[in-house]
Amino acid sequence: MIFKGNFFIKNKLIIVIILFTISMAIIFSCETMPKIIKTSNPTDYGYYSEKLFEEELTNYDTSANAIKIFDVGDVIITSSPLRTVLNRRVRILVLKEAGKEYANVVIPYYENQSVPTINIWAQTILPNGKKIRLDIKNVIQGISKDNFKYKSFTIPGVKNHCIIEYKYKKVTYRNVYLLEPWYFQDEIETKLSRYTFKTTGIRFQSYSHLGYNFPIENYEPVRDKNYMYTWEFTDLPSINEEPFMGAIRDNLIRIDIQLKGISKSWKEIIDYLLSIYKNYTEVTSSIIIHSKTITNKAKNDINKIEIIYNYVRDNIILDDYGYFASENIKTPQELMKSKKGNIIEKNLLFLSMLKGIGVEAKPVLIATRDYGKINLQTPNYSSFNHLIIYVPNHNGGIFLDTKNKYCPFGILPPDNNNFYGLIIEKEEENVIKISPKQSTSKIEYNNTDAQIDSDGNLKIETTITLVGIAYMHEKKKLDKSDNKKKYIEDNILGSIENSVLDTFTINNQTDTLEIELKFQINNFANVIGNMMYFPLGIFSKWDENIFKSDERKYPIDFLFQRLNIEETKFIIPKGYKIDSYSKGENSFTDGLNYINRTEIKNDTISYYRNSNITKTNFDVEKYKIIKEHFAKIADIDNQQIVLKKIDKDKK
Amino acid sequence: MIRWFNKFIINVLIFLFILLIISTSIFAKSKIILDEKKIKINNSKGYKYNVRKIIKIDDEMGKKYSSIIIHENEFYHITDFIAKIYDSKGKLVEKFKERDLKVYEISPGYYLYSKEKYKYINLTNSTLPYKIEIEYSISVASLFFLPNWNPQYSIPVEKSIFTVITPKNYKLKTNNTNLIPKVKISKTKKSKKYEWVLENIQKYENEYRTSPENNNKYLLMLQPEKFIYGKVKGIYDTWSDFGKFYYELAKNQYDLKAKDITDINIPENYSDIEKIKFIYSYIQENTRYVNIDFGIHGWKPHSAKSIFINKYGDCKDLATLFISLLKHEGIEAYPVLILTRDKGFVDPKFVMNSFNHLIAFIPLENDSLWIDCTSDYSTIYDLPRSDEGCNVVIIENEIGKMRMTPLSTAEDNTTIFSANGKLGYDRTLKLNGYIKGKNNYAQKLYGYYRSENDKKRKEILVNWLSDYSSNLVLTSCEFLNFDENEINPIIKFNCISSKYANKGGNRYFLNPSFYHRQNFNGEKPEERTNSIFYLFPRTIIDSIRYELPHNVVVEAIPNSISIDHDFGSFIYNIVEEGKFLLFVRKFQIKKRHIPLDDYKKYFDMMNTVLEFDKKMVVLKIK
Repeated sequence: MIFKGNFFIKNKLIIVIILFTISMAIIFSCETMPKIIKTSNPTDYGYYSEKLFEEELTNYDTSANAIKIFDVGDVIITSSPLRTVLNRRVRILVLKEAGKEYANVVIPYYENQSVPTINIWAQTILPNGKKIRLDIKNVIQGISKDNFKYKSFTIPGVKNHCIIEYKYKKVTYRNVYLLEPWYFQDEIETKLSRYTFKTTGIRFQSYSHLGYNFPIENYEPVRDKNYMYTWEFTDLPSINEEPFMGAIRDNLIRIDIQLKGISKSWKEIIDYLLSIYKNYTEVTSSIIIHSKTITNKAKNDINKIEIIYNYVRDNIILDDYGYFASENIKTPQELMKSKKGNIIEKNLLFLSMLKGIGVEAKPVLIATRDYGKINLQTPNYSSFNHLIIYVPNHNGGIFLDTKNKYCPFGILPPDNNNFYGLIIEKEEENVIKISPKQSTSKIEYNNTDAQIDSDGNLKIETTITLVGIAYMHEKKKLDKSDNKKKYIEDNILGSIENSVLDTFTINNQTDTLEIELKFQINNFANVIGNMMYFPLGIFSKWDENIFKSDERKYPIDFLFQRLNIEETKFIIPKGYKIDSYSKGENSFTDGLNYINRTEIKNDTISYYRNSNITKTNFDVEKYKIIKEHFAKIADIDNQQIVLKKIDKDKK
Repeated sequence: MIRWFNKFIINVLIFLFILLIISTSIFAKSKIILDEKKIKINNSKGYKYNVRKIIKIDDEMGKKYSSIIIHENEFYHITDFIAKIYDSKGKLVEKFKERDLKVYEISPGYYLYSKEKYKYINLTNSTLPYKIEIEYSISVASLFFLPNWNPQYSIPVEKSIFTVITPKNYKLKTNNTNLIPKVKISKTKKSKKYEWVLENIQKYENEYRTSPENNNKYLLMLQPEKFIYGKVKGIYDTWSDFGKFYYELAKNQYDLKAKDITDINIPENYSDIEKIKFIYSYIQENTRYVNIDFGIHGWKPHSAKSIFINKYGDCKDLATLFISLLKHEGIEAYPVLILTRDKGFVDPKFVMNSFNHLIAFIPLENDSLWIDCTSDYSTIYDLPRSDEGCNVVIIENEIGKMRMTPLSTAEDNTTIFSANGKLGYDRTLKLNGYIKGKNNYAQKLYGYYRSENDKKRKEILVNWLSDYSSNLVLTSCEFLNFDENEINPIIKFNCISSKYANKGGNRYFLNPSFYHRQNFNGEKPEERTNSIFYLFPRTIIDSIRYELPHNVVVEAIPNSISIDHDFGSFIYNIVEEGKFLLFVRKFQIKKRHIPLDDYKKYFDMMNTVLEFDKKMVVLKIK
């Protein structure tokens, strides 16, 4: 299910959106279902017969865990009183054990100024037509992290091969402008998803579809004489996670709706946010003094920005998730005093301090990768879940986020790099492209000397340099470990079997981690009779392909650029000669480069491997090429070099 | 001369002192300076639990101790919370009270009907080092929940004090591991005070495959004289007494009348075993597990009737329904309290409520049955691995009996990968064969595949088969016996692994271990401090016949090896027969526990397995 488990914890924004969106009060009843529902569709509400059940079992793919027979929702928004009424009804055919999880339902809501009413009804229909109703006493109400609320229940009497259905009516007052999107698709196949929308006293303005690889332009809504709009999709395939997929939400077919005079334009959203960010955009003297004081020894502007970035990142403790449109944002003075704030407050303080030293900086609303891309066509608060800071310069500017204490200055955490953001500033070209160049992971294994003995054991001296995202990830692990030796053994050498650490030095600069290592790999080479053989990659060799499936449904998203360089000089044991080896091969495809080179000079083997992912996003059509590229890398990485004992007699 | 010598000594001492201070500050690490817990038992209805902690946070590692989480529910109520943060100079930075605690509920979806909340506060200071002091009391409304004392943490503890105050004539029993010091007892006119003090406790270290009880090296358990839970009175004197308590708590929940269970029709001519199988299958297929919070307020099951209607419940609910249905058919069955083996081991000599799960026991003349109703993949003859070899209490009517659940053998838990492979001129390997699983490995296969549709099953199988293949295509597969638990499941497959053999000059390198290769990252023998623990003994067998292409000759073959110990064995054998290579690999862990004394042998065996799993047959191109 889409709305389930820790989805909410991870996606506060969605919650806020969804919750805000559908809050108001009315009593639940089927009578208020919109006209569109009363169709001759066999999946019509209410009535359900054994015959229909059998038909469904005959017609549907019964190897699935569950099938959503229908998910219909209708929203009516009225201006007097200003409220949103959502009626939703879902019917699911449960086929297997795993499908029973759809009987656990969570309905989130946002409670702000007024309490929405939610009326719930649910039942199980067994193949013999027997119905088992949910006892309303078994609906629980809760509050979770992020202060969102929910009602949850589990439908009783669920068995394999049964129907479950539930309906609820949620009435929300005010907050109508935060209308939630409607998702037509789910992680199970959906036979019918219908969304009906009506307003009274408020004009419907526009809508936009999103969803991957679906001819959405062919799906115009049906409008009846009462200006009721209906969107209907049938036979929607299930959507399942694939490796390097990006946010599932980006690929689900959904609709966002705009209401005239209610839904906010970009300008209105910006104006509102500027009003609540006023304490930060209008810099106070105390902030100016403080910013200037801590940067008084800086060499230049960029150095000043770095000092302030480090100051906010390291000195203001992150104590909550924060919502960018909250009216309860602390003032900079409160933040400076308590030294604690949520992520929005931290970044706003960073903004304020930059302004305090005269550096031009702008808040930018973004959606993190796991939250999904922003919908540029439909201005809506729900598009965003985070705020970062943009510092323009003649090179296009840099984007910064003080959230991650391991993120060095100049790097944008990869989760923030989600293509577009909205600059919160008046009279601007507000939608801005976020450059992926700021999210790169670089690992180099330099100056590696590897000496192999006649038993196949390898002694290695190397320097490993980690920069960018790689620095971020490793620095976090390093700081969390109280035993540095164990950290090296588990993380740096963890994937190298039979490795025994000898000595190590960790040189930790502000944005680079340099690790010097001396270690041994026992039985690195296989020794059989008078020969020994081994692959040349030590650190970054791939034994398997990261892409295994024959088919791919959704685009590939590598999240950030990755550069990996390994350079080793092997000294072969005395009494051996190089019998055979491959000189290396390369593999290049758009945005994916791999170089593998081996050179021999006397008793020394020089090995060079460079794997570089410069493009992070690929269409699904490219999947075969990409899979072959990584298959080729695994094949080349595992090529063996063969050493043979020198025949003394011949010598 | 003497004066000079004295001066020299003094200077050396001063130098050493300075060095000590410097080194202390350089190598300073987070630690718990004081961990003080006090329990005051006034009557049989409950107790007051006071906690006081002083923690010095010196590094990132220690910062997690700045997040304070205190659980609260219908039995636990927090009072008098005070927390303070001090900077490195000892200056008070901030002070917090109970109103500053944030209240959260357990995330939706995890527990269905939980009244559990947690109160949370983050006491992190912006600059390291700093010190925090926390003090609070919890009023606990039942002596059923007397806490254990486990003073070891992932950071060192300077001093830990545990005090229990009882009325003077109160009978408090304790049980402890041998690292817990001797108790100091003092008395006043009205009360008796027990005090345990420990100093300089080393931090807890994680090791490879340690048993859960290794995390409880320092453990003191308390046993109250009597308790009341849910209006039911209980005592912990014997397991029989504790069994009686559970019996009283749950005795009215088993009633099922024929009219309540109309949709279950057990053929009348069935034998008892057939009836048990029928009912167990009914529970597996028609109910689902929903977590209803067993730990704190979930000891009493729902009524069998309501569980039958709802078709969901937690472990005790499903077991209650199962037992009720059996009783309805005239078959005697009893609930069994169990601490799953992945969470620890119950000391049979000390009666306590240290259980986290409930299963069923059916006494039969020849072979009694242990049945876990939360397992969808077990038969009536096998238990899930975490239920095996556990000390349990069978609630046989009004009597509790301590018994141990059966433990499967290495042979019981066998998985086999068997295949015929044909290596092509282009290094491509065509393979057809099967994967079979018995007992715990059968359950693993069911767990991964049973619920999935054909497409997803293929995806999972491709993932399993291509751990060591860069490009594998599954040409066909068949899943046999996946619909019922009684017969061992088999996956038959045909696949093509492009370039499976590696290349090097004019040679091909074929690793015969296509499917199973061992992982191992255990500590060096001189560093190891705990025994090795496997949740179940196991046998893993690979048998592959490779047909070689005509354009190659075998240049070298890995040696064969056979290692056999009490705790495990390894056989690796490869033979050339004409154009075929016959490969057999057998890895076996015979015992659940491998004692520390055998660790060196185990370490060597595992490294040999790693070494052989890398070995390749060298084929020279003609």
